[in-house]
Amino acid sequence: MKNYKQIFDELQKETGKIIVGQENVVEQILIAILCDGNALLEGYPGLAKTLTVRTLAQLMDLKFSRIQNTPDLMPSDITGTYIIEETSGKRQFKFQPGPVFANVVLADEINRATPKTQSALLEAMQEKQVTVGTNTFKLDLPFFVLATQNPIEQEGTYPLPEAQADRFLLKISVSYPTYEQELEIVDKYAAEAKDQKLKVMLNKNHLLTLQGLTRQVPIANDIKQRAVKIVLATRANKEVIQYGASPRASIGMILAAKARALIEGRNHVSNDDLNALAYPILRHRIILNFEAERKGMSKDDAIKQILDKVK
Amino acid sequence: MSLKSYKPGIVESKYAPLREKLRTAADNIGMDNPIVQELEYEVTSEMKNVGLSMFINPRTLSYKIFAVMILSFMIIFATTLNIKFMEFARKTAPNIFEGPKGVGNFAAAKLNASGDIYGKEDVAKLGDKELNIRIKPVDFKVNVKEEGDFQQQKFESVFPQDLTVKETAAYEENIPQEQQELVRNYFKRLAEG
Repeated sequence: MKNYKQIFDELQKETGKIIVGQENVVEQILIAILCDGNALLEGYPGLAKTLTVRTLAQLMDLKFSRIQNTPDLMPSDITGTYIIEETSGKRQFKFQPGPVFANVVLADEINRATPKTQSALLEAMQEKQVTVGTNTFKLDLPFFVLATQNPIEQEGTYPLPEAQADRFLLKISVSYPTYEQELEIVDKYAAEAKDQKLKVMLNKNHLLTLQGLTRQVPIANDIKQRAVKIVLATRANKEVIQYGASPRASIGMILAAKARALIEGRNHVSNDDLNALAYPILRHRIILNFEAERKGMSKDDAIKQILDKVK
Repeated sequence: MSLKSYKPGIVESKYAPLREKLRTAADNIGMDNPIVQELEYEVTSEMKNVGLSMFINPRTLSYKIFAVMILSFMIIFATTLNIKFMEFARKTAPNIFEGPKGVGNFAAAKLNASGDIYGKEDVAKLGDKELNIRIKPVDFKVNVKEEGDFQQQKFESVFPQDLTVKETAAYEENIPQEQQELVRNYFKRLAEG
């Protein structure tokens, strides 16, 4: 297990060449990748969300594509479309794959796309396939959608419907860097432009093996039961939460805890994994009631309340 | 199940490096996967560091030893002063030592009902007469005025004077005389030639 920890430590170190700080964000993206899940990154503009995803894709030697979501983006702009191709005097329809045909798809500012376009990603995220017309195309594995959204500038946006938000394993909150980190960022990017060369750390096969290994990490029965109790508590806590998390959250919680254990070089899941991952797992799956919002309570506050209760 | 009653939980609480590991290994025992096997190996190695002394609470143990010492001294003290605790208890709580009552004990109920447990009054009143009672060790019957001096018994050795040896009765088969003659003659002729 220590060897795996070394791999992830090296990965963090390499990412650190480009991204200053944000170790938690990198770790959580890695967790989503190891769980074969998708992640939603939420943070203010300019916090290197896109850069982080791009850097990780480079380090893993994965095919990367970026979709800049706008209100006029069409589903076919994502999935691909049939075009007429003329070869030796004959015209025929040929499928032109869209940007979704990659290993890592970065859907930038996903809440700016219309619900119709957003839902074009649904099938790809869940089924790892794309249907265009009457044909279904399998996507190359591993496949992840890492979407970003800004919590501000909500005008003219289309917030993700609950059904679609539930399909993201984690909602990663990207926070501002500290004073020291920001100084380092300034030093790094305001000085002479240097081309940082990144070392490829993992390939597709390594990643698929690691995904298989993640599911083999053992978990104690009482920790498993606690994970389920935490999710159930979101449905029972009607004083604060109007709608609780789905069973998909329970699955995600245990799987993500296993991935975190693997990243940290542990051969067992710990309660600390649940405490750390309850926030990104649950924050996009619960809806606070009016009373809680009136009190100025955040979703993370509600989750903390549950974690304190379910020991 | 609480950690206090869960055996791996008790061990984990005494030895921090095994925290969550031991119960994970216990819950996933027999699973055929390299991570579980590595965990089992790690737990087995670390279990060697768990000493029995970790499960002994010195404070509780010293309280128990102290209590045993106090109790021992009390017993010795009571024995030396010949304090009869049963007598004391009989005086303080006589109800506890009352005879059996109720449906279960017919004999006692019968006696109590008659109210006359001593029989005839003239027999019961013995006054200051001396009673000589001997209880036989076998049948425990009481004989009044049955006593005597110890008598030295003499035992005579008797041995028979006229000792003779008698021939024991020979075993003779119940075979008819004619057949005996026939066999005898047969062997005779055989011997002659």
